[in-house]
Amino acid sequence: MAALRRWRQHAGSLRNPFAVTQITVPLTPPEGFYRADWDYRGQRQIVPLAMAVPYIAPDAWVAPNATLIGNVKVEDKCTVWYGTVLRGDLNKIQMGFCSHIFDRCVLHVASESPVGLPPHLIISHYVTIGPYCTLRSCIIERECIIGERCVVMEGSVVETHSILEPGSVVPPGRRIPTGEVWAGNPAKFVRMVTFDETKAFVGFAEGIRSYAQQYFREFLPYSTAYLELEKIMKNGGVTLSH
Amino acid sequence: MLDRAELLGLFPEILLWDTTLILLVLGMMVARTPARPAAPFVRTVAWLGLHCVLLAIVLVGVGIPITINSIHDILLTDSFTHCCDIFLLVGTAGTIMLIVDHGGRDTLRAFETIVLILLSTSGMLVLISASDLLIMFIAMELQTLCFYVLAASKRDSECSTEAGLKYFLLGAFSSGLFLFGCSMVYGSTGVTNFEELGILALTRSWGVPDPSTGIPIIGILCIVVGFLFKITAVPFHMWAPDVYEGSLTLVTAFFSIAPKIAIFANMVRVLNHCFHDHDWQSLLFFASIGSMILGTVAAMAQQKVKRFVVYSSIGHVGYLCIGFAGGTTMEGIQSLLIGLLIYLFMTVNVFGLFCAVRPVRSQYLGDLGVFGKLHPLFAITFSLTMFSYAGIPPLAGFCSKFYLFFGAIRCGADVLAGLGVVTSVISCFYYLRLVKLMYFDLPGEYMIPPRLDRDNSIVLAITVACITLMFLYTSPLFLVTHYMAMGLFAESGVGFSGSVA
Repeated sequence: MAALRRWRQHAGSLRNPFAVTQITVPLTPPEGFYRADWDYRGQRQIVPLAMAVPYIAPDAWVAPNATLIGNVKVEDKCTVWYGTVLRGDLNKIQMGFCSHIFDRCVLHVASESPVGLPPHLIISHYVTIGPYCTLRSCIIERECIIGERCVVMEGSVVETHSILEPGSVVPPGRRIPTGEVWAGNPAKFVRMVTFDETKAFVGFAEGIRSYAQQYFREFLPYSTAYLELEKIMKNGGVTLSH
Repeated sequence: MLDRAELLGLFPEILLWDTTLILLVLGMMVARTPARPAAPFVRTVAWLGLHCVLLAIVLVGVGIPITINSIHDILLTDSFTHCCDIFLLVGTAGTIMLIVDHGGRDTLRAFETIVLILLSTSGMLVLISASDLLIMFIAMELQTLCFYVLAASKRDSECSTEAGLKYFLLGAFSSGLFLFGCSMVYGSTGVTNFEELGILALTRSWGVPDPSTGIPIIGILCIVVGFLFKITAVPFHMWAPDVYEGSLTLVTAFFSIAPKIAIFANMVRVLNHCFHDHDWQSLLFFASIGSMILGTVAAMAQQKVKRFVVYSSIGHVGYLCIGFAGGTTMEGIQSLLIGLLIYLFMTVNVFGLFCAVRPVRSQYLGDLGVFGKLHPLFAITFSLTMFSYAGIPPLAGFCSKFYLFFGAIRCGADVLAGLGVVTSVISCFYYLRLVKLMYFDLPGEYMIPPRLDRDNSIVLAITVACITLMFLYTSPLFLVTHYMAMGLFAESGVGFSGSVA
C-alpha cells in the first residue's frame, strides 16, 4: 500500500512537474515601482557576475550583441559572433587560442557533471563552433569542428580532430574519440576524418580569424553612442537619475 | 668642503640619494596609512624612480664637458666615468621600465625593491668613479648589500630565499677576498689611491720578496679574483645560475645588466691605473677562456629560460674579458666598451621579452614555442635578439664580437680570438635552436601571456631597433667609446705604453 502511494505521488509529480498552486500575480505594478521597457543602454556585452568579470583578450573579436556573463575567458584571436550568449554563472567557460563561436550559440554550464570531469565548459584552441549550437559543460579539445545546430550536453568530451555534423546531439557523458565524424540524434559514428582534413583544421580556423579581421577593424576602442545619448538628453529631457 | 666643480660632479649621485630617501619616506607614509591598507605602491614608486634615473642621465650628460674632476682624491670623474655612468643609468632605466607595469601584478608587492635598485645604482655610480681602494670597496659593498636584499625579495618563494642566501654568502666571501687583497696592497705600499699606486707600480717591481719594495702579487690576485666573482667569470661563477634563477625575473634583469657595466668600468680603471703590469692578465686570460667554453657548453644543456640566459651571459662575460685579457690596449678597451653597450641592449631586450611572458608558466625553453604562432612580433623580436647574441652579421652582436676579436688579434692574443670564434660558432647552435623551436616545432600547450604593456613595448622597440639598425650608423658608438678610452688612458699616466703591444 505504501509503495502504491509513493508511486502515485511520483506519477502525480510527473504529470505536471511545474504545477504551482495558486500564485496571484498583481497585474499592475505597485505604486512607485518603475520598470523600464526600453533601456537606453541596450544589453551590456560584458556582464560581471559575483566577482567574476568576463575576460576578453585584446586580440579577440566579440560581436556587439553577444553577451558574456560571469566567469568567461575569451583568449587571443577568438571570435564570438552575433547573438551568442556565453553564460558562465555556475562554472567557468574558457575559449582557447583562435577558436570561433558563430552566431546565436548558447554556451552555458551545469552545476555538476554526470561524469567525473569538472563541469567547466572548455574549448581548446582552433575550434570552430557553427551557428545555433548549444553547448553545456562539455570539453572540446583542440582542432575540432562542431556543425550547425549541434547540441553537446554536459560531461561530454569531443576529442582532437573530430567533426560533429550539423544537427547532431551528443548526450551527456559521451566521448567522441579523436579523429572521427559523428552525426545524428543521438550522435552516431559516421566515418574517420581523413589525413587531409586533419591537416586542414588549423588553416580553417585561421581563415575564419583573418576573415573576422575586417569586422574587428570596424570597431573602435570605445563607442560614440554616448554622444547620441547626450543629444537625446539635451533635446528630449531624458534624465539618467530619477 | 667640496667646491663648486666637485659638487657639480657629484650631482647625479646626490640626486639618486635624495630620491631614494624621498621615495622611501613617501612609500612608508603612503603604503602604510590605515586609509589604504597595504596598498601596493610599487607602480608609483617605480614611475618616480624611472624619472629620477632619466634626470640623472641628463645631469651626467650636462657634466660631460667637465673633463677631469678629482674629488678629494677619492672620486675621479672624467669622460670615461661619465659615459659609463650613462650606460649604467640607461640600463637601470630600462630595467625599471620593465618593472613599472609589474608593480600592479602579483609578484612585486614591496616598493622597497625600487628604492633598493636606486640605492644600488648610486652605489654603482660611485663605484665607476672611485679612485681609491677603500671608496671602491665601500661602493661595491653598498651595491652588493642592496643586491642581497633584492635577491631574497620574494619572501614566499623558497628559490628566492635560497638565492638570497647563496648570493650573500658567496658575495661576502668574495668581498672578504677583495678586501684582503686591498689590505695586502696597502700593507706593502702604504697608499690606497689609484694615482699613487700607479706611480708606485711604475717605479717598483712586482712580487719582489721584500715587501718594502714591491707590490704583492697575492694582493693583486685577490683583488682580481674578487672582481671575477662579481662579474661571474668562470671559475667563480657557481653562484650565478642559482641566484639568477631564484630571484624575480626583474631582479635578475637588473643583476645581469647593471653590475656588469659598473664592475667592468671599475676593473678597467683599477687594472689600468694601478697595476698596469701584466701579471693579472694571465688570470683574465684563463677566466675568459673558461667563461667562453663553459658559457657555450653549459647553455647548450639548459632547459630553463633563466638558466639559459645566465649561462649565455657568462659566455658574454668571457667575450668581454677578451677586451682586456690581452692587456689594456686602446682597441681592447674600446671593444670592451662597445661590447658592454651592445650586451646591455641585448640583455634588456631579452629580459623585456621574458618579463612579458613570465605571468604564464614559461619557465622552460620549450614553452616559448607557442609564440611563433601566437605573437609573431614577439617571435621576430626574440629571434633577432637571439641572432644578435649568436653574432649573425648585420646585427649588433656581430659588431661587438667582431671588434672584441679584432682587438684581441691586434694585441697578439690570437688564441683568445680563435677560441672566441669557435665558441661563438658553437653557441649559434643553441641560439638558433630557440628560433627553430619558436617557428618550426609544434607547441605542446598553448599558454597565452597577457598583453605586453606599454613601457615594456617601448623598451623592446628601442632595444630591438638598436640591435638591428646599429650597423647602419656605427660611428657615434665608435666615437663615444674612443673618447672614453682616450679619457681612461689620458688619466692613467701610463699613456699608451702600458700595454702589451
